Amino acid sequence: MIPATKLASSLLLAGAAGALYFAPKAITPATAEATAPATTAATYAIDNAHSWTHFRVNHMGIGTAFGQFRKFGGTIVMDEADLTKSSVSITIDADSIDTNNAGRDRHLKGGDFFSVKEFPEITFTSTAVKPGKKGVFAVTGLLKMHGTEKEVTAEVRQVGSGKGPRGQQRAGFEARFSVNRLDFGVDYMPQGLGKEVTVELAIEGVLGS
Amino acid sequence: MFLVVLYTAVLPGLAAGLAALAARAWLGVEGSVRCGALAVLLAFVTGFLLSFGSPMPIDASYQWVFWGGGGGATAALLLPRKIGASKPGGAGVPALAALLTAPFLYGMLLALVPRYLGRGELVLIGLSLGFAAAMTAWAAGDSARRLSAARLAPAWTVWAGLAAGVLMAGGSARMAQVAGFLAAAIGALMVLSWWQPTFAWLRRAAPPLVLILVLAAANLYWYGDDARAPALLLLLAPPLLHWLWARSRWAGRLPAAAEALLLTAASAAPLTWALLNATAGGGEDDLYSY
Repeated sequence: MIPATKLASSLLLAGAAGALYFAPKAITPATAEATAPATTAATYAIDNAHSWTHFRVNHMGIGTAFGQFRKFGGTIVMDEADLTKSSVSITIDADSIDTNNAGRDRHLKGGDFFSVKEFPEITFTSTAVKPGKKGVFAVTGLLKMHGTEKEVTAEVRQVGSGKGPRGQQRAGFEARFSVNRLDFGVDYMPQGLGKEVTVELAIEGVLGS
Repeated sequence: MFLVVLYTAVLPGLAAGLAALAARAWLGVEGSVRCGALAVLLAFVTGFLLSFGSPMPIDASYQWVFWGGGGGATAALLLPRKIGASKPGGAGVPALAALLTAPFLYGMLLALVPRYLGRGELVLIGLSLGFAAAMTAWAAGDSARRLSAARLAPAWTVWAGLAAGVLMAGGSARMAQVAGFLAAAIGALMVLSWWQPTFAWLRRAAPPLVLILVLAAANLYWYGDDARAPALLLLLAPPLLHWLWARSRWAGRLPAAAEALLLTAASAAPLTWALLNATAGGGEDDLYSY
């Protein structure tokens, strides 16, 4: 007859060993993928090496915190003849968040904020482009983050265009918009961190790549 | 910070204490076994709603902790009174913990399929942790049956309180708050147990306490970034140590304060180790105070 204490201890250890064995394993690393809508207009692929996605948020009402997503990709379709037919599609790898502090990055990737294993990608797909004054566009689209999709409008400005060092045609843009993070369920620490997050993008696209 | 303490400890603790007193008045000694479950349920729901808001559709993994914990505490409250009262631990308590843990874990971790986990692995995780939760709940329930609430409640309060520290160190302030609700509930029961030391304040608190801690730890481990499994598994160690003591020949023979201190040390030792394990390896660039 096995004593009850030994039996219970053995069974618990077996359960714990099972849990340890099935530790999380990344089967596929998250990658930002470009998706190009079908169009005859000029299509630029985002050059990640010369593009940035930054955000800023208030910290405790005291200061401002900055961060960025390092990995992202996508396409910009420019129709010079009719700019309203232009479009933008961006996919950001949420796991690539970088706030210049490893501990904070781990916290942001976890369930308190972005929960990147659950919601690995942040996407933006434009639905309307409205040309404005002085080369500024209002690009409206659907931002999907943390499993929630909301319409946002970004103010976009073309910085310039021309040939790069390898002869490829390039075009550069800057974009800026704000979101209320609580609208996207990124709602932890509502008193400690600002609700409004300002996102700024600096993007260089390479024609036809 | 004031609001965090208010929502995590003060108000959930008050809700737990008042609920237990109300249950004590309505159910009398015969029904007292249910006081613990009601206290945990009220503290947990109060803390969760105050801290994380409502309504809460299941669209993020952490919300399964709420539904699992609330469901577990409700089921423990509604279990027939005789279950766990006459035989050591009773089969109903571990069965309840296992039956609830496995499906709620499955629901919580489903978003990781197939990117990080296969469906078969998910089933095995549910079964393994469901089994671990069942055995721990059984051990905790049996300890609560054998030892007076006044002697055991301080140890359980330290267990839940240090579990909050381990979860915080592991990278989830939200799950740390969840453990904080539990510490507040058991803390309130501890105060009540000093008033009526032999009353069964803790008995039915065991299944939801274990279930919530297992779900919170699982949420941190599988959705967090680089959480350490040994530290989280140690969260289940205190009730096993209490149970070993409760089954020993010395149980109940020491003065009350000495035994309470010993049991509290049995909570503190493994969880201090867990805290050290959870925080080990961080470099200078990891220094981060939220």
